[in-house]
Amino acid sequence: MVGDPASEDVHVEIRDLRFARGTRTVFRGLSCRFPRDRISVVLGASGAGKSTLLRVIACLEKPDAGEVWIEGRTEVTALPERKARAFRRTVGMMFQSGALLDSMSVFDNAALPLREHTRKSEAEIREEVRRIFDAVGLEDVEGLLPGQLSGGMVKRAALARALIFQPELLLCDEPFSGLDPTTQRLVEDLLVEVNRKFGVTMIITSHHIGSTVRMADHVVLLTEGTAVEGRPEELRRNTDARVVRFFEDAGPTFLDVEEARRQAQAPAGGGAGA
Amino acid sequence: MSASAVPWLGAAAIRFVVDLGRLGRFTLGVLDTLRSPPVRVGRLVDELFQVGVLSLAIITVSGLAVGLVLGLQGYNTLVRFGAEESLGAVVGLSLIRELGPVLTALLVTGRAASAVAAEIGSMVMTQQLDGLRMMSIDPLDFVVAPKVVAMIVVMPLLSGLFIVMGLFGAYLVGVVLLGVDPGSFLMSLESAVEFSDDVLGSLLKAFIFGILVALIATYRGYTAEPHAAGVSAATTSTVVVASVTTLIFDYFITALWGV
Repeated sequence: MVGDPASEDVHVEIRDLRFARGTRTVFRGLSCRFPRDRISVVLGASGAGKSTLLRVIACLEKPDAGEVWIEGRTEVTALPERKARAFRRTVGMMFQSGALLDSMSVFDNAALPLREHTRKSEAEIREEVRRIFDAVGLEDVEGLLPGQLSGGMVKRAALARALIFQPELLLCDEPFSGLDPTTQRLVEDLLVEVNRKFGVTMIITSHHIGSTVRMADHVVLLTEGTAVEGRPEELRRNTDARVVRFFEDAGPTFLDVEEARRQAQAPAGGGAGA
Repeated sequence: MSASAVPWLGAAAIRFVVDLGRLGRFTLGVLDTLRSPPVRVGRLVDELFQVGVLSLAIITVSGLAVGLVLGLQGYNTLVRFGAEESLGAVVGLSLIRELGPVLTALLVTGRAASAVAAEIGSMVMTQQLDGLRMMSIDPLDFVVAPKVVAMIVVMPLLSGLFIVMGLFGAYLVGVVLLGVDPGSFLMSLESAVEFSDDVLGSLLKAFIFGILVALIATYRGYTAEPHAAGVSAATTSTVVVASVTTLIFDYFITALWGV
């Protein structure tokens, strides 16, 4: 369990981020921090800017103002495109839709970064991809096209591709969307396992409060273009009107943190095809 | 013109200029990827197949049909003046200088360019291009450039095929069905058509149309709004803009270079 992010080793720090899409303001001076090696969940209503925040961190979009610092050393919003390209190689990103190339097999999708950026032999690439597939629980799907996979398998394949370079920072955009509850729990468990096994800093966007409570070490709530952050228990006690309103709207799930954590200890149900 | 139309026209003009600027930047980006390795031979071959080989049937059938009609109409007109022996020259010049490259460009736009725009647009919608960016792979290099090169390469070849099939169709109608002397048909064709002016000019036209159609299709797909309606709009826009641009450029190439 993470302590106060202010006193922890901070991996990603957002400072006074401002972002507008057309006439709509998404962030108005958003600041927050994501601790190293922990699972941080970014919560927020639809349109709150969760995916945009990940895209800004990944240098896929430039904010109007503000800074994104990685390990206090690199200010990624100021990087020119060539350096941004090199930076992205150190970050894994699991997109909401999977973003797998639908004209390539699952194996080729995962192998693509290695083929593009390393001089590894085909045998070495095969070994590397198999190792990652084992880690995320992908079996017997190497030759299939992404369109032939179930939703859960697409998430696993996307996760495998994101992990292929063993990034220190993994961004997961809505990894539970479109999944049934059982598969959702399996993906949750998988992400927690990957976090523990690879020691990777994870920033996950979600609007599933139950999942958030079960897996988050640190929560960032996006509301009204700004952020409120803390441990799940801290947010539960937070009396900020924005936080209270969000959780009132969301329902009672978030209030019972201990119950949610107890659920997390229970083994997930079976789910072929996840 | 009413006063309310002025702002609308101004906004449309600004949009057009901005779009043109973006297309220019996009083109420079594609050129930049082409001059640096890696050369993606496998992807280029795939695209040559998609754009070229899969267009063979439509080009063959259309070329033949146009030749048949041209032969028939040409014969009916020429026979009034007792000049039916010139059928080969009339049909040949029409096909080689105008109809071959222009109709091929329009057919390729309808069959292949629209598919290219839809494919790239779908990749935008499903975040596949962002996925490539996150792997430090430039989508212009990986996705766009092979499609552009393939379309530029196949356009003159398909145009050549269209012309040959058109001539064959006109020969069938003129010589086999209507009794024009085969020697006269071929002799008038040979004497009327100049290799350097007509044939090379025709290939040049097709090459330029290939560049235009390829850039418009890939640009429209690349800048598609990331939703179903956006992809649909990009596809429609590709067909309309590429077709009109082809016809306008055809006039200017003909007027300026006499091709």
